[in-house]
Amino acid sequence: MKEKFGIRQFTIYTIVILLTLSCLIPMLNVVSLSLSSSAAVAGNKVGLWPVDLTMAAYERIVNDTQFWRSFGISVFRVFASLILNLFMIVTLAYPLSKSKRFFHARGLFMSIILFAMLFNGGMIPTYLIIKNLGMINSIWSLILPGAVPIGSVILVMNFFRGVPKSLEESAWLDGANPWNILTKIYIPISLPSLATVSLFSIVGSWNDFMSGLIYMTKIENYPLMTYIQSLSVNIAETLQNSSGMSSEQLQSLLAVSDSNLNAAKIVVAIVPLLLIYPFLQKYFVHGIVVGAVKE
Amino acid sequence: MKNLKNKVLLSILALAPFILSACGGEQTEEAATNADGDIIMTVGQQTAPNSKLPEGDSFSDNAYRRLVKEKLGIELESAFEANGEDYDRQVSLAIASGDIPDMMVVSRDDLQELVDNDLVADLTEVYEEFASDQIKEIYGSYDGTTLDAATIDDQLMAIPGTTNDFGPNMVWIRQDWVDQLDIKLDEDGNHAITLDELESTAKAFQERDPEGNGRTQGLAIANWLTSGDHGSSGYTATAITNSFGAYPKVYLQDDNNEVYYGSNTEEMKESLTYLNKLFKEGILDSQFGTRTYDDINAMMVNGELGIVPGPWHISDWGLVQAKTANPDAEFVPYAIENENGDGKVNAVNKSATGGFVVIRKGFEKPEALIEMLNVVFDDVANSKDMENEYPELYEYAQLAVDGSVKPFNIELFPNESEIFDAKEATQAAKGEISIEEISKFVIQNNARKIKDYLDNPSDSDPSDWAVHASRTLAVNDVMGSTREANILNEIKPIVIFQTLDSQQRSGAQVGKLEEEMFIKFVTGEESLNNFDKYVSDWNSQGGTVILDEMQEVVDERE
Amino acid sequence: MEQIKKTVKKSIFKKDQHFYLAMEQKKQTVKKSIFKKDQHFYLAMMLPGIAFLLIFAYGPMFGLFMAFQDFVPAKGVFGSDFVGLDNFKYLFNLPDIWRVAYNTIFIAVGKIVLNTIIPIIFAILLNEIRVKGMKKYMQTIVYLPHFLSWVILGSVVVNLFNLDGAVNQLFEVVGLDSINFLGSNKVFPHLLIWTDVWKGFGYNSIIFLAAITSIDPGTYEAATMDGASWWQKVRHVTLPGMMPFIILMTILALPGILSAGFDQVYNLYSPPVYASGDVLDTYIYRIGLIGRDYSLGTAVGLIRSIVGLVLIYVSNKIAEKSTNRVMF
Repeated sequence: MKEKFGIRQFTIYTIVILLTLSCLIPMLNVVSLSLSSSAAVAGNKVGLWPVDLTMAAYERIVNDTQFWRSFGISVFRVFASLILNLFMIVTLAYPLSKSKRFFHARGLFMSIILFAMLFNGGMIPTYLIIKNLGMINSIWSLILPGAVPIGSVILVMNFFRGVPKSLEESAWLDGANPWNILTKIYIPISLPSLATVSLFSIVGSWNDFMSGLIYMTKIENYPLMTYIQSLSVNIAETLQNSSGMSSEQLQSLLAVSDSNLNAAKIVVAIVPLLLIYPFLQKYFVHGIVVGAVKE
Repeated sequence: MKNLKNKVLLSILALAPFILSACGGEQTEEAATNADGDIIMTVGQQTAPNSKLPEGDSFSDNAYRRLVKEKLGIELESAFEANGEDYDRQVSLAIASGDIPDMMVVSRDDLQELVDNDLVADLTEVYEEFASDQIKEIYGSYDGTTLDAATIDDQLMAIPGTTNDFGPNMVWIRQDWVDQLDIKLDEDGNHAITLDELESTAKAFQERDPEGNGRTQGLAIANWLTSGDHGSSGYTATAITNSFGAYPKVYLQDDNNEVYYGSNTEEMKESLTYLNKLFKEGILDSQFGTRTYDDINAMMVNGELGIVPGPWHISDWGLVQAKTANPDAEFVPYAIENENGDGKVNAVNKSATGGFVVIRKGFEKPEALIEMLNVVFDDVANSKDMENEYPELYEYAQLAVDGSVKPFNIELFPNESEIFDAKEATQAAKGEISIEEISKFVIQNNARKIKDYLDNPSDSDPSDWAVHASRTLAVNDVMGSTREANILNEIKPIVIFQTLDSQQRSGAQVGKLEEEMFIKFVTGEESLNNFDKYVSDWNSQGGTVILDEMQEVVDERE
Repeated sequence: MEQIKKTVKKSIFKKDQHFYLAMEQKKQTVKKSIFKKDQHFYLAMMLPGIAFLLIFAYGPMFGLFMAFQDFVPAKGVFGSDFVGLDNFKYLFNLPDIWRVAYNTIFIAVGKIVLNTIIPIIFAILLNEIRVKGMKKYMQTIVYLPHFLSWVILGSVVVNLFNLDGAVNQLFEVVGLDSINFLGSNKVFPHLLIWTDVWKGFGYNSIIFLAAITSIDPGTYEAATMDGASWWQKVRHVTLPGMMPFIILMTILALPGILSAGFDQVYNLYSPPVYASGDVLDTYIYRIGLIGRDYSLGTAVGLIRSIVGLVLIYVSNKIAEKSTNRVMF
């Protein structure tokens, strides 16, 4: 369909371009911070362009062995979580996408899942379970507790429900079993939604720093985001809570504001997410559904 | 389906034993040993974001641990390593899972909980028997208050770290600007200026804009306005309020031994009235209230602030940034003379404690803690020849490795030793005594830095200037001189180490009320005629209960 | 046959009625055993997922007792004293609790509504970009803010919106009065809502872009042939096609009504705007209770969960009534 470039298009392009540019501001700021000298950063002089351009921060990262160790931990975690999450999402979403008439126990399982989404026992009890399963300091403590992403299950379940029933019907009449129907019809048709939840899974496990802080008792076992988190100091907060700290302790704690180094670590940590994105993007841009639905 | 529900129930029940096993204590057991026969001792290790540890060393393997192993035959092993809030969380989780390390640093409230549940060892005897004379002397200098803080039911349940606030709160003023604008400051040379001098200097800085950036502010203050201790008094108005005889955020006793709160006095109302005046006149930053700490810090670094209130050590971690960015930026500290013109300087003298080191009940060798104290705070600290006796730790000192790397992140100093130490360092730097004769390594180190600065003030390392400013200018000159000249009026607030029940319940609530109202008083959003209403709100929202409970504790002590 | 039709009518999946009718008819002829087999297959399929939930989600739920206890870590959940509803009473007796609750709901509702509408609009507009490559780059760029924490974005927002920030300088140029965005109780909650939308609209639009791609292009072609305008196509094809996911995302967002985003508020607010910007999480954090007082934290969490449960249940019912489609 050929359309000419009219006022409507012009307006749409302008809005989208402006919104997009606004999203570049913070990232440019962080990149500039990472490339500026610490003095310029402390003086709040860095905007969208580096001041006193220096690569020193990146040089330090390259030499930071713990950074790369944590990087590796995060990469493994992301892949293991992704595989586990996708398995759980599909195996839960498929039966649940059937109506009660076809899957009798659906109501019970749906309640179990919804309840688990809304209620949680809190940090200490979860820690006790993990500890008693012997998973403290094990990478599995970062992967297994989040094995079932409930929001994604519900999302994919709803995508599954949108799969044209005519396809399933004909397969069913041809004598296909549920497993064949799932792998031959549901999964290929639902690739955009699976790409979506994959992205959620990757971003979620890459960015999560809290479980690392709780379940990892040694810095050498920290995933990347936990490691980066542990490097930053909130000076104002530290000062206000400083009673009981000796002047020496305060001094050494406050003398380490390395904002440009931290900015560089954030930049390096975001890059993998940006690299992964194009691989998934093709599923959002072209509707896979097109070919499959045409009868 | 019923079947299924049963299965669900069963699986949950199957987990119960795991959870239950978390409870239950142990008695004294034989400690584990390593291949060399060293006792293995697990510790909760505090860390720091940028420890400056040399290549190859880490919090689990460093010079202190090697020293402890060599000297005491104890191998330290981290049960967990974390920093700040994350460390506190690990402590809570360890306590909750009933699996605490052999040694860790905890807060006073955690100590109470550990004692209540019989999880930590009584250290009374091992302290008496093993602590060196030097260590006992340090604690003795606090009249026993520090050890009292760790004593529960007449038993010493932990080894406390020391910290102490003393001397006046200060304001730091850009001397290069003062010279440039030819302002007369502190003409009597007592290192204390009057409020009028402060105000006129602020005005002059703002109007005449010595840096020429057109953005110079008279005074900028963080939105928590005041502070109850020296450490957090940076960028606050605490020094100004003190000069009115107001002591915000501390509890005091009046002549009838009645407890009152320092923020709720008539003097505080006067201070707020004064600050409100400064705000109206535009001397106090018009964005007061929303300015963040980082904003103010950036203004200081950029030469937009010529007056910075702060503790004696702010030059080491704060002002040094301005000095680095602009070598001309020379801040000099002053105390503020009392507003009533009696020529004195008000100050708060408050002893406090750092963390509390505890030993797990049942650990075979509780004296290990005391022996480590002796090594770290006596043998090493009083070594005259660090370089040869403890070469690794000497290197740490040169690299300024963070103190948290010690087996326990506490500090142990004799009371008010900073004054004596600063004096010694200053004298040595000026050549009055020999640097090599100084008994403590830290002081030697400071003396060398000050000397480097004094030898070549215009072209010295900013960190040398910082040490000169904190030790010589702030501690030796301002704190020492005001004390010697006998113009110091030191107030001793009530010190209660544990969190009272009433404070736990309402302390934060009334603190929030104070913070919010005081900002409104200063900006004029709330009239100061409503100060009494604020006080009665404070009382009714839980303040009275806090005062009553505190009164009880204080009366009991008498 | 009449009986079958009746049961089918009750079916929640209105648009699948044809299919059910066919199935029901088939059922008459095909042996029942096949259905039974399917049941076992479904159950077996769900087993691993449910097992994980039982261990890692239901296992720790004994911790919910803490809401009714004076929990002391050393005593554990089974040893701590029960105090009945004391924690809840304490919470509801805090002097500012109702103001804080109002702030929380105001900000959270604003975010829920705009975090749905703006990404939908953006997804539809982005879909109109036909320049090859451009769309891809834009999509990648708009996700960027999502990956940055509020500690970083907070300082960017402060630099843009404080009294001498870029926005006010722009106002000055065009002759407008400057606005104290960060210090005015009127403006601050809106600043919170809009900056949150700005942070997340790109990322939140992913799901709607996926929804748009799942619309049958044939429908568009048919509409074009009928002479439908762009707007008519958006209204009658795109939006209805996305509707299930709009409803779903809204329902899934509803339990968040009592959480207005701790990190964001914490990094942007200051005492002058406590009156309008203090939300449940920041309030409880600031009055220093969460860190120490696990019981109170659990009580707040429990209230949230219950409110979330009610909202999800009610909204699901409403969706069922009005669109004949359940989400769960």
